[in-house]
Amino acid sequence: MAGTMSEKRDLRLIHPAPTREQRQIVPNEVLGMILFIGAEVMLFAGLISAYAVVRAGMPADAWPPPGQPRLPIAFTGFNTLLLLASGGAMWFGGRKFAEGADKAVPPVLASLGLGAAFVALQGYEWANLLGEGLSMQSSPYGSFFYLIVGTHAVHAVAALLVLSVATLRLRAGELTEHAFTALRAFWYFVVLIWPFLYWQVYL
Amino acid sequence: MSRVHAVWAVALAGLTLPGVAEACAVCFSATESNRGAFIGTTVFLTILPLLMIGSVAFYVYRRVKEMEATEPGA
Amino acid sequence: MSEPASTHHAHGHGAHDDHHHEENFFLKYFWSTDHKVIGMQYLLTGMFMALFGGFFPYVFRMQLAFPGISVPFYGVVSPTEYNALVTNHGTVMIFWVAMPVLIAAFGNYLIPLMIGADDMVFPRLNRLSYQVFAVSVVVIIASFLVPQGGFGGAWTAYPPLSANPDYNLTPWGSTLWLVAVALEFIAFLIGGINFITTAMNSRAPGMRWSDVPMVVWMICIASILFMASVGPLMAGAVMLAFDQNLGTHFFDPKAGGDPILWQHLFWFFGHPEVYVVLLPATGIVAEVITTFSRKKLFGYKTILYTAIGTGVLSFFVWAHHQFIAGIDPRMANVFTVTTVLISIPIAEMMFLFIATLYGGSIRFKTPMLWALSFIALFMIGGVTGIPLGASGSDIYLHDSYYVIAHFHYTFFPIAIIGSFTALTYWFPKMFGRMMNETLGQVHFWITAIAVNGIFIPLFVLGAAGQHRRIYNYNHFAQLSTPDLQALRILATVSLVILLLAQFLFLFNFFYSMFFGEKASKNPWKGCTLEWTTESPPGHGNWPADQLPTVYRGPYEYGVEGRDEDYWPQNVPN
Ligand code: HEM
Ligand SMILES: [Cu+2]
Repeated sequence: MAGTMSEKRDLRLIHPAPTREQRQIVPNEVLGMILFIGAEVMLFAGLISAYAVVRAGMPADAWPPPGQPRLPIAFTGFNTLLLLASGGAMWFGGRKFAEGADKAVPPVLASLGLGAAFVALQGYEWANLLGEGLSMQSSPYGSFFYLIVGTHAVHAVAALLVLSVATLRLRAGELTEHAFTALRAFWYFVVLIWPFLYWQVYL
Repeated sequence: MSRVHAVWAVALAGLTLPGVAEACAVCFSATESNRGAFIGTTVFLTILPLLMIGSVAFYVYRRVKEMEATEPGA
Repeated sequence: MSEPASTHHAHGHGAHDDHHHEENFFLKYFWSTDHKVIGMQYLLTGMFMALFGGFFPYVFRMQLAFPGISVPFYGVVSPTEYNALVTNHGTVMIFWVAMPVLIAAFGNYLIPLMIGADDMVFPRLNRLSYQVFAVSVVVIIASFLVPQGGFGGAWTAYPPLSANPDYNLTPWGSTLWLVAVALEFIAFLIGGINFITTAMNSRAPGMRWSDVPMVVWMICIASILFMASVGPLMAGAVMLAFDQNLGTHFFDPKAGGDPILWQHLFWFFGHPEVYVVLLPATGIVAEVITTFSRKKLFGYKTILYTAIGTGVLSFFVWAHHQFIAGIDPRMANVFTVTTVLISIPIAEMMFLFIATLYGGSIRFKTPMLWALSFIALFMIGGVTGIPLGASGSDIYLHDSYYVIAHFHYTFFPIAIIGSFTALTYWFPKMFGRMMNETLGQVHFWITAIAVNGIFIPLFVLGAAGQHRRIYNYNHFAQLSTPDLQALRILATVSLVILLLAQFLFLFNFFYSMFFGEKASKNPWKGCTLEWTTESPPGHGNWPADQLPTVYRGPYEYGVEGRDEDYWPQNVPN
């Protein structure tokens, strides 16, 4: 009785019994990253909600406030495309990884380049807006603009730094498949949340 | 739908139609759009984490089923 | 090409290198990646913070009972100091005692042991989590030492008071307070990721989801709730820090901001947070109740589903903290209904525990006494929440001592009684020695009686209309109620007794750690996996070739036809 019972249980094993190798339901790194991204999404959800509430509390003619510069919709729209392209290149790098880690390096580098261009252009835009008099203190409009876009920029820069190091390891063949997946997932998060922020803040 | 259900439905629907509480000074000054935004973001913030947790849970559930199907000796 | 297979051993150390090379003391205790050491670090830090945060109420209750006296061991309390003490008492007890002890300390210590793993899946992240937490401890303590002293804008930090140094008078303290809280959240975010991933991927062979001990489930659900709710508060914290230091006006109504917005961001996290600490405590209580009534946990799956349901519902109730803050009345109505609804699953869980007791052969050891008192006191807390959840009666009760008494009848059982339950139960495993039973029971009875002596008077005071957060009632003609002073003194005296009794515990704890009777592997005859290894477990938890395999659920007590009244999870038949 006991014997058959434990055999029946064996069928439902998550990990095979003989060795202690884990059979991971979702690979550790990937699951960890998914959870982290979930928390990050909530951070942005909080920012966007705050923005929506304050914006709705303003009289219609005071948003954006008169006398303050308008946000460059077209310029940032182009920039958004750059970032999306970067995400696409990263996705392509993931596909290439199956053929060999070194094959994945060029698309990943392209992705990082596009990502860096996005950050640089965004910085250029900030510098211009600051010059035109839109600052964190000038109005809630400016505060939220710098807060939300800045939070995204911090994420983008951090991700670019980590991914640069990872690319070195990728070239040396030291980056494991799952770690690579997890890092790419974070970049997708940075890329995909941006159009949403663009829609909310710029449009 | 039994009568009990109907009573419940009416009672619940009634909850959405209160008059403005005069106990607080702030209710009057807030604009309708601001109040709407509070309700909207409340719904958004409440649903979003549940959706995310739900989808991850569903994904894990699928993975477990998959792994059980490919279990050696199954 | 890299070998993906190597990720199967992401462990910094496997069960393979079991040979103990003598590390130096610093490396062993401060730089360790062993989940047991990290759990211990969290535990001792949390206990230290409990003393730190526990001293504050002594000071401010003395001020309330005997206004203006020079408090022994402190001195005369100024209004600013009073505010800082009240604020930081709440903050410290929730963020630096309840969370580190219940979730981080026991989560770290128990999860790998209870699921039969040799360590967490991300041991180095685990160490990082504690280090960030340690920095947050330093920052919150430092916030008292800066010019103008600690933050005094209440643990809920409502703007505009918290946002503007002109109002709160603590330009440094308020920012340090925010920084400390934010760091603490980061530490727990990292820790939670580790817990969930470990519980999902490192379970012993044969351990199905319904074989996982309840406390592991509860800590994981709590971690998920925490991770899902903390983001908006982080957003709010950044905005508040900007308001304090960069001259923005996110929460300043004068300049177009919205002060109620902070309350939403805060309570969106704040209410799930109460379940974040509640669930691990109920998990601990579940373990202890089954072991000491020698009966299977009644309704394992029901408890689990209830906990998940509570977690879901806990996202729907937070605005009950704002009923009279000027929120939309339509919203207040919806939140009244959801708030009253959420007491159903909680009550159900308590009844399931009582059903577990029913017909068991109960052993009244110290851990069991704590577990039972948890149920009794927590029920009072839950029941008194209902008049608060009904928005009509809350208009009267809000911001009175009734609210204080309500949440202390929930938080005291959770943070303090829950921790004592766990400590007294797992002490033999953690330190390899038994605690003194007599001292333990004396400590229990004094604490359990004194806590009622504190908070029952506060219910009465609150119902009589006493506001909370008042430095000296005699300063306000309308609030001055000399006839109620006796109740305030009663509460204060009970508090002093309660605090003094904790020295009994501390003595017992440290004395038993070194001189207690040696504990066997399984002193309470428990079924779960942590009892199958040495007390205390070595590095890697089990010898590499003896890692357990699981054959049955965690609570097989009193199974018919067996010699012993318990059937450990790892015994084949
Ligand atoms: C079971 C049903 C519960 C109900 C119906 C309930 C209801 C409420 C309500 C309506 C308030 C707001 C009162 C006011 O400020 O006017 C409140 C405050 C509070 N509750 Fe509960 N509660 C429940 C359980 C809990 C639990 C389990 C905890 C802790 C783990 C808890 C902790 C708190 C805290 C800390 C506050 C006060 C926060 C503050 O203003 O400083 N409650 N409760
Ligand atoms: Cu609440």
